[in-house]
Amino acid sequence: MRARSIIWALTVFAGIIAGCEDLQAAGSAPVLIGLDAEFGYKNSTSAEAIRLGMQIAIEEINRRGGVLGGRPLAIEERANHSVPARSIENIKEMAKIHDLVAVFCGRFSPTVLEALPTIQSVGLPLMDPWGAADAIVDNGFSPNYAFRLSLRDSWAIPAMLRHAEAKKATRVGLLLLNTSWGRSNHMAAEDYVAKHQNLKIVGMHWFNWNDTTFIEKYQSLREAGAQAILMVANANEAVFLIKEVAALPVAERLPIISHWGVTGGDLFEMAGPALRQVDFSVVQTFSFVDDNRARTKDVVAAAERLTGVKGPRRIVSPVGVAHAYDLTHLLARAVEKAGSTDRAAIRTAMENLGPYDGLIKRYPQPFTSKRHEALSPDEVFMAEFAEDGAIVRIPRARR
Amino acid sequence: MTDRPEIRHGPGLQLRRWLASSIANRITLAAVSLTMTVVIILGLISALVLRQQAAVSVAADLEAESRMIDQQLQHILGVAIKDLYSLAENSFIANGLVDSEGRDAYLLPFLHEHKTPVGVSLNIALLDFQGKRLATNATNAGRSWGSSTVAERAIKKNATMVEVDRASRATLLFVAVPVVFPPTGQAEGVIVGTMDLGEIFRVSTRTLGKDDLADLQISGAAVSGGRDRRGRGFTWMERRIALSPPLDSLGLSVVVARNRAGIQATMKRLVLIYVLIGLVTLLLVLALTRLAANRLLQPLASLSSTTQEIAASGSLATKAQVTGIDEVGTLAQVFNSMIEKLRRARENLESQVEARTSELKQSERRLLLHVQQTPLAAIEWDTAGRIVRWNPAAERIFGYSAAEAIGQSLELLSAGEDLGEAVGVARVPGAPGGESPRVCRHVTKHGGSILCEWYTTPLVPDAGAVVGVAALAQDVTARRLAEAFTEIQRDLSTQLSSTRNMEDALGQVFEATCRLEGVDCGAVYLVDPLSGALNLAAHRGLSAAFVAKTSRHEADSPTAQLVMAGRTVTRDLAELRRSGSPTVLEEGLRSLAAIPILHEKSVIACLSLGSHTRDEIAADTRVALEVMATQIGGTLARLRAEAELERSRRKLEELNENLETRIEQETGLRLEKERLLIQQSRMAAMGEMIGAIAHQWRQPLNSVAAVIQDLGDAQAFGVLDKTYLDRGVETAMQQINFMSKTIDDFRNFFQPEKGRRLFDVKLAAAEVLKMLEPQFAAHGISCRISCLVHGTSFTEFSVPLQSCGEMGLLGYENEMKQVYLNLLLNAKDAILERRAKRHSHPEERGHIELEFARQGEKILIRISDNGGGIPEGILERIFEPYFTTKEQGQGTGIGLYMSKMIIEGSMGGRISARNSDAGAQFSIEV
Repeated sequence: MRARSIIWALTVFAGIIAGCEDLQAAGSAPVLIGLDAEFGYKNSTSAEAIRLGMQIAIEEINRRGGVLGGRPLAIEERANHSVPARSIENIKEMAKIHDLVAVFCGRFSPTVLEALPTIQSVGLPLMDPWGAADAIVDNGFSPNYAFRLSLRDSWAIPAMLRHAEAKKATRVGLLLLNTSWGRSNHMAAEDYVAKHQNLKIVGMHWFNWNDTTFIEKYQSLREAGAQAILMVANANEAVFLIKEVAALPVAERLPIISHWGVTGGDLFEMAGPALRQVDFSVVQTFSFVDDNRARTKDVVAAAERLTGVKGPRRIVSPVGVAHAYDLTHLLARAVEKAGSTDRAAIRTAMENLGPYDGLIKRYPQPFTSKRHEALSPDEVFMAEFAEDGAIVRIPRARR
Repeated sequence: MTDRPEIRHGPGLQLRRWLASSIANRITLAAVSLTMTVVIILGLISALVLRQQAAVSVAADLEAESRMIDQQLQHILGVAIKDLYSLAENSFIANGLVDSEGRDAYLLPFLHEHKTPVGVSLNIALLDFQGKRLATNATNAGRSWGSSTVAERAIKKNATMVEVDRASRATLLFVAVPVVFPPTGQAEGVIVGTMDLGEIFRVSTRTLGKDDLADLQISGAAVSGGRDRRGRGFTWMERRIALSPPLDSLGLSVVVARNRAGIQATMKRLVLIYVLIGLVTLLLVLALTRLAANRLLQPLASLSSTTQEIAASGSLATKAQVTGIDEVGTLAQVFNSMIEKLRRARENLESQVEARTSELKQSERRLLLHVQQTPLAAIEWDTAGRIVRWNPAAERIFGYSAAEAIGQSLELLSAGEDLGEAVGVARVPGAPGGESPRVCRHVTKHGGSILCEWYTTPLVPDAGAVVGVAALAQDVTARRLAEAFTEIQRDLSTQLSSTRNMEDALGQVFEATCRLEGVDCGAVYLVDPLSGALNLAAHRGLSAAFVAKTSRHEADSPTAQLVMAGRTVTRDLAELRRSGSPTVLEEGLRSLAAIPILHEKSVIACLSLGSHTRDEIAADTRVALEVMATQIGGTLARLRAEAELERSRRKLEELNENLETRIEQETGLRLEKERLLIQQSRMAAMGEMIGAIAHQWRQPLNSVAAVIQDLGDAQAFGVLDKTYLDRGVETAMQQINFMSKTIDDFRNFFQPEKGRRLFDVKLAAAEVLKMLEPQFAAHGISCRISCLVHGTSFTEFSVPLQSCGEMGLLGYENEMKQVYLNLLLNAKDAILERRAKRHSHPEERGHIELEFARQGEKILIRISDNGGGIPEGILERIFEPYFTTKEQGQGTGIGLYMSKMIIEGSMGGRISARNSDAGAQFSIEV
């Protein structure tokens, strides 16, 4: 893990050296952005995607002269394995770094939620490019140091249920990971169904890390009358469900509508041909595919250069890349706006940024003091895995 | 007179007097003393051994209890670790590392509800990788969970760690088990279980004995919870062991001790029991010794007085008093029994003497009776050689009565030798005795000579001097003669069985007969089976003149008639003289015997024996000769049969030799006939061939003749130039070449073949037809070859056919061609004959069909004609040699016979014939 961190850091510095020779010549101290994410989590690609998005954005910023009068941006990276205790320890360590202006978190909401008190106590702005638990932003702290440019569970579940409805599946079963993330989605589902009488949750099952069979729970929901399965899971567990459902007769295969945690891992590779046997859809906020804007192409080109992938369809965990990219740009603007590396000032600046034409959308005002969510339900859509593994938007007509 | 002062005896003197007064007293004192000594020594030894055994037993008990406590501690710790492992692998625990909400909602209830199987209270806590508590089931949440390093070490080493904390009031045992976070596969926390070490120890020492004490110590200091040892003075023995891993790493040890009070009480009870047993034993020994001494000494005194009484009176009626069954009582009983046995022995001896005396008298009477009635001569003579006893048997054997013999010298019985010497006992005292029995020859009162077997016994009284000789004699004359004859007969039988020669056999017969007493010459006559005359075969001990006169007895001679009647004829001297046979008397013969030799009830020979010394042939000798004649009869018959067999064998050999010669002659004749037959066949074929050649040549000869004739004409008309001549020569040469080729073909046909070779049977047939075709054409006979394998047919044979590859055969091609030739010519003859007999329409053409087919490995050939067929009556005989239906001179009758020989002999095939609707049909299978 440490070796990989060093390699990435060297890569970042190589980019900086290549693009900002003038800054290097000036010898200015870099402004650091922390990244505390689930590096080391088996089969996970989310942390790497977030780092890629940050890198591309930092390259662009540094190429334009950096921040605070020519100081380059750089990433200070820590691995938390998704374990809160390690995250807290990492936060404490990074808080002690003078020029570190904020910390980006990873995909796992429970880790972020448990580290939040520490983040608040050390006054370190938290940039959330993935974690979707509502409570990360709706944390009750004031001032609130958490800023999110990502999906919210309370947006994801309605989108997934609407998708089910569009598939004429009004009776759904829930399969939820037994963590705060799963429970957050459970509440969101119950809230949504309570407001929509035509929908009904016919059953719900919890599962744990590394469970390797779901067929009994699945069949229980199907026998209870479920017409679709809403799944809140990560890739490791989802693979087993997909393979087990693919092995059933076609008539017994229900549509599986998944939260986006599965895109944080290499689901396509792990599921293999079984994925094509199942009606599997996943909630998303952004896709590089079929986006012909110049900015998108630039970002894809940078991603190709940094990772060696070929084309927008090959970018892994695209939402992580896109969210981190836009959020890094917003943070850089906040640093510029604050005029220093003072974290409190930067936090305030984040709430008062002007319009920004980002990769995902044009942000009239990304954050306000009352709203720490940069995205909105409008960006949420349903996607599926294409035959080449690319995550592509499902056309409305097919829903 | 003064009173003697009263002497008071001390206890020691009284004791000595008491001891001197009785042996019983001395024995009693000795037994009591010995018993006391033994009891005291045994008591002391037993106490020492018991104490030693107790020490060993207690040491073993303490060792076992120590090990048991160690095992109990290990068991409890093992169960706790296993329980913590199962928790560490539980998903709730893994969730607890990352899910603070889940911890409160799910993990804490889970931990509280967890039932530990350890048996002691176990508090559980989940700690993060820094040792910070995340969740616990302990009511006192603030309690210690061990040092922070125990969690760190467990995570770092990914192994279970154990730690003891003595800081708190109770001594606590911490067990930290790493919790692996599934997504990373790394230990991200620990599950810690705490237990009160004192409680564990109390549970582990439940089975401790009531006199045993135990302590659990850490580095020598006691851990509260074990049984109190109350100081070293109260313990008798203790055992300390270090605990097994992993508890040993914590410096834990167990001390188990046995309470001194327990062993002391046991030893006191033991000493008291020993004293009581000793006293009882002493009293018993005292009483028993006293009783035994009294019982032992009283019978001895009684026995002593009884012995003295018997010695004085000499009466064996006196008995000793028996007082019991012990050794002394037994001694008295044995004494009485011995006296009784002596008395009975005396009485028995007296009765035995009386009985033996009576027996002796009876024996003497029986002996006398025996001597009187025995068949043996019982003779006794004194030292002067005078007979003193003579029994009736002696009278019968020697002819003398007792009155005549008694008082006579032994010379009375002698046949010229000293009888005393002869029988082996000297008549005089002191002479050495001889071997017994001895056989002597005697002369009876009536002058007869007999052989007797003597058994002599010198009569020697107690004083040692010989007073006479007692002898038993048996007449063994007949027995000796029978034995001699048996020996002669056995020897003769052995010799005859190995004899293969008549002359040797007769010589052996003479050897044997001359061994008989009185026989010294003889002759053997063989009966001529044809004439019945007796012919002299062998003789012994006879003069040439006698032999010349008696070499043959005609069948009608008296001697021959008597012999052929099967009766034995004997003549003694008186009879010889009476009959006046001069030949016999001139020869000096005194007696004769002629014994017929029979075999299977027929007289085959005569054994004639004589004596020059005896006046008669004794009856025993005659019987012996008859028996020998029977014995000789078998041998003579066998030898005659063997001689006959030998003659037959020689005759058979001669016959065999002649037979081989005759067979060779017959075989030669047959081969010659076959050669002639083949030659005839060849010649017949050649005749036919010459006819064929004639047909072949007729046309070219005509052409050549025409050319030559034309040349002459051309010459005559003046048109003969070189061109004309060349054309004429060319035409003539073509015809000549054709004729030459024809000759080659025929020559090849008759050329002998050296061996088998592969040839095409269809092409061979075509070549034969090629030769015959002009002849057949002249007779209006067409031929066709059909290959049924490929469905092809050929009627033109001047051009060579091509092999179809299916008709190859390994064999003799020319012989096959000869078969074709025979069959084709037969067909031609049949067609012509039928035509000649006008059985066919004049316009009808003759036709011969040759069909070739395959059936597996076999080639099938069918030759059919329309010649009207073979008469049914002769169809079965057509393959016989010299069988022909053709007119005389037309057929040899060997063509079909030769064909069959070739097909079935040389080719290994089969040939058969049948009639079809049109004619004959021959089938060949090769």
